Amino acid sequence: MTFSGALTLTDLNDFITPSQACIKPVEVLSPPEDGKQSGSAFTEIKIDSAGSYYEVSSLNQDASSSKGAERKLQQAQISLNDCLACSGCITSAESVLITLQSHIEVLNVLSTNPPPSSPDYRFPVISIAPQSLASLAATVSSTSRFPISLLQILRRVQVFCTGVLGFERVYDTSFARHIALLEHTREFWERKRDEGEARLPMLASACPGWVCYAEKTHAEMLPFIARGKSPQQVMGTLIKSWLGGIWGKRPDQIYHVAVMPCYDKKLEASRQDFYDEIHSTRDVDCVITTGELELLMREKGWDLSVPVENETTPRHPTLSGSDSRQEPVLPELIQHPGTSSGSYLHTLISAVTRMLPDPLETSVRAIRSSDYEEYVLRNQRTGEVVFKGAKCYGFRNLQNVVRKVGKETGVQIGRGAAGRIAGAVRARTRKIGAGGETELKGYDYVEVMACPGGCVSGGGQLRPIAQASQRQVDEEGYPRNWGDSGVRVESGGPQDTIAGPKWGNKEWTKEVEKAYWHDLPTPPPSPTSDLLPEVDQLAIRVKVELCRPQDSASQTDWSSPMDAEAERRRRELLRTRYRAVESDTVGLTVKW
Amino acid sequence: MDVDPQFNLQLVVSLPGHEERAWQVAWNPAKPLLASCSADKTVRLYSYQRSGDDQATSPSFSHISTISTAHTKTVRSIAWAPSGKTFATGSFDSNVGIYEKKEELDDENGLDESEEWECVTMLEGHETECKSVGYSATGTLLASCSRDKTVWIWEVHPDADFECMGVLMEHSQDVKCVAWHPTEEILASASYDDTIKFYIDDPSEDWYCLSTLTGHEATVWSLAWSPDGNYLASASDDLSIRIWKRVDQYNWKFVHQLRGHERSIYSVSWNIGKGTSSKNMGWLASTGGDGKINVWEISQPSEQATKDTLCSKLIASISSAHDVSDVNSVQWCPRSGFEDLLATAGDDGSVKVWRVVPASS
Amino acid sequence: MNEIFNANPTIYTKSKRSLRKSPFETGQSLWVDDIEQQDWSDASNVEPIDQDEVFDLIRSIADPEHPNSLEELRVVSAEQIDIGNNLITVEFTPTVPHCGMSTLIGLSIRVRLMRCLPPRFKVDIRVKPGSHQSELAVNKQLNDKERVAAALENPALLETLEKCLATAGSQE
Repeated sequence: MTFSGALTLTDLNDFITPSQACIKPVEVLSPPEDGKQSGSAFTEIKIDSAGSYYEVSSLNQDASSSKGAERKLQQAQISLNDCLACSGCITSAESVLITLQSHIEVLNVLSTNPPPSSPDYRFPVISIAPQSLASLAATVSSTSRFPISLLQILRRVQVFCTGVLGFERVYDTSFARHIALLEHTREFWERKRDEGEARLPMLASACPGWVCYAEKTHAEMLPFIARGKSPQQVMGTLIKSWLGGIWGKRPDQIYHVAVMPCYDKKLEASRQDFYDEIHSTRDVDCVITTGELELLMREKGWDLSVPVENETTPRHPTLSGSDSRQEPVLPELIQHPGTSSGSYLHTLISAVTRMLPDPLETSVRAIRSSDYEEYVLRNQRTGEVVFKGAKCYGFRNLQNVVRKVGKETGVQIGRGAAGRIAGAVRARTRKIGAGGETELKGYDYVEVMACPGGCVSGGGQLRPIAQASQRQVDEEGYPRNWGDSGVRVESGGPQDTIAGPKWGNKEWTKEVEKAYWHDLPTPPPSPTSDLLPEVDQLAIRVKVELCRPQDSASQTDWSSPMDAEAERRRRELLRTRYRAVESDTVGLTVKW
Repeated sequence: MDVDPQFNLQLVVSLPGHEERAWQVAWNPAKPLLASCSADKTVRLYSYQRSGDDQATSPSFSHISTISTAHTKTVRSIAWAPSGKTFATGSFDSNVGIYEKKEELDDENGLDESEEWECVTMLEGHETECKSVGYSATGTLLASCSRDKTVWIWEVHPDADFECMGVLMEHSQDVKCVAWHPTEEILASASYDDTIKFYIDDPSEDWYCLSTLTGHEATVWSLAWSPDGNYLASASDDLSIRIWKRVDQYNWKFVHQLRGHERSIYSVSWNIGKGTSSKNMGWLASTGGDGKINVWEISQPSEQATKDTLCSKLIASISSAHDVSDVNSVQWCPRSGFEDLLATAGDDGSVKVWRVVPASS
Repeated sequence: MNEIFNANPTIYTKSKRSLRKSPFETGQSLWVDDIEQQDWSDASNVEPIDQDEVFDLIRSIADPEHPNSLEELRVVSAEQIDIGNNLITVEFTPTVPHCGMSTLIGLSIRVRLMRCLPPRFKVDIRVKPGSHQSELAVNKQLNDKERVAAALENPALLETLEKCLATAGSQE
């Protein structure tokens, strides 16, 4: 198996690298051969040219066959679910990801898909994250005279996906994100009002790298992580449970591909929580990265820098009119002002601002860099701190947030070492901690993202060209010729003799950030798009059609109360769960 | 090899006490204290003093405290902060512990100093065994490394608070040792991947790796900067010690090799020593799996023409320093007036203090 | 059930046990502390040791994934043991070149010798040259005392190791 060049290359910048080889024990499925005494067998293993292993039994040799009986040995299969349940590595197990969620897999499914008339036809749908569009836009713009907008890129990708690949629908995920943000806000108020056992601070749940890391090494953080699904998984619900109904398709009759800026989104899609057992299907069937989409386009000879027809004309979304038999046109590229990683914090800040009668004053403090910023909302009249939040990107900052939240909430951090520190010491720390006034108030919310720079610089994004050529060896230390592996390498141009910081080109991240906000200033102040109230109307239609409240007429707002059964459906469709992963306990497979 | 045993290694004291293998010794840079750590999960503290001002006499040592650490596994590494008021421990349980002396009501009561030390915080983050810890020259930064291939840099804040400044994933294997430059904020790390790496802080970005040294043919176990910071010595499983010269701000060059051990070299230490020549670059001590302690005098060659070379002379050597056991750590005493003193820790659980004395005496 | 790297290994008959009983084989788990109490370092106590004695210590260690001893699988043999001046080099032969159990087998040999031999012996453990696809990596790991020490503090690994060593020293 050869690794896709794009994957290996971009993975070099994955924020959390696997520290150990895969240790998942593999079940041996072949039954023991009858009558054969253990210890008396004479066998050898042969490998054929295709790399398959054969067991050759020398006992079975007889006159009729000069060769011993050969039995093809089953290859060990490790599923993505095994990866998620294992603590051997923190994030991606490359080879597993490649076979199960790759652009090759997408092509395979599409090419073996029977014609639409067939009952086995799977209706192919693709949805693309705005950060992925921004990465493509920045790359195309870098060699173009004029900047190319996200809308233009979306149109070009739409023409490619429908015309060349045969997808039936192509969406961007901003409407799903809008619903995720509405549900996120709702959850925040639930926690604020102390409903249920969930507490504050609430920590963002959209970053699967962070969620995975917390499940494996910081179980004490899990109660704080928002239960709301990420935009990718909300999109999965929208397509399989809502639009599917309108199309008259069962979930398993739809093949849903998501294009994401991040490898860990593949792991997220594979979580058992997002597996529909009734229909044996997932909300998102396959996740490919921006880099893999670009590879697909290149393999199909598609030039993204060539304009397509009407590429600057926005579509008119169906916003109201709840005729559930009519397929809605989803709003496209909805701007959520704040951060390019989903604006979770800013959405809550504006919700808090709207909720309180008194005018509030916002102060922002960068802690060392723009990847860690604290936002404090004060009542202008009383000076009281009403909300304290932070955005925190990157593995290093994440460590500090985990420490801080652990301290503030008094939960035992990590694997319990802190719990062993003498009580007197903790008392002393508490005494000292009771200093400043703002320090006293803990965070209400933290927008946690594992990648420095946030989602626009995710591990699956396109890299600035110069960086690729600097690296002559791959992750495992083997020399790689990136050009031969299908990775575009621009030759020439002076290269720094001193290696740059690990997280790569900040300048490039700025370009992608700029493309993400297109013509808006970066980041925009805080204009709420005129569209949003109408988008909310469509969101309410989604809620009514998915949750089926008895009194659908009274649903005027996302947070309008519904009957218990409808609330149960809402939780089922829009929220998820997390669980701590035990560390390795099988002696045979311990890596030491 | 230029061998001139003009000095002897004289045993000052043998300090048994650890119930299992002693991994490392660390001299307090400010006070007359020596600490050791062990697989028995404890840290032992000894005080020492010289009777009178006579530099010719050896100091006497007494055990003052055994600290049961909060670690659940071997305490592999120990390092004092430059102030001498705090020490850090790195353990196989993957955590880094920070210890301070218990606050007493009658503080600064010099004579009856309490020696009760307590763990004031635990730094978590490494996934597997922490192998080495070290404070920067000013004591504002703490580094640690682990089998998880990472090097972590923490900023030391008041009241036992720490902020993570960087997680460096540059090595391809187990990281064995971290060592800060004696004056600048440059960190060096040594690894099972046979390489040495240097890191600095880019104020507009994060900590990053600026250079990698290759040349050793096996695990690099230990690093020691020369007292002036212009050289770095590295000790390896390939039975050699290499000395690297800083040729410009961010470049190091291999200039000298020392051989004198028959098994893995686990530890090197480099201090000013008591050499007299004007070209003297200090004394370098090494030890390892062969149970031998070697002391080398490092000096610059007299001719200007060969300025990228160094001279070394083995001035003292002792075999079976800890009987049949491996010796895991060697450290020169950093305090003025005690430059001829070094401590070792062995698989026999003991700590020994040695003095380099002229062969005639 | 775990992955088995060599599901059907070749089993060989055992050789006769050497008649001379090694003085080192005094117990199955003789820890360093106990040995120290016996004052091994005393010169009058220093016993020479030969290949067969070392082989006797390790031949009946159980393979981690088969109900056979390392001798039966020809993983170890007396000829593959070299005795130098207080230095013992043990070579072993994994049953298949991709054997993922090699580090565990090597570790069990090391721990067995560590527990039985007086501390004056330094031990090097290597896979037979050319017998394993990751020969250098396996050798490097087995001879890194720090990695070995840490491994023995991993409860899951230690439990597996004790199972392999439970049969060591058995006469049958």
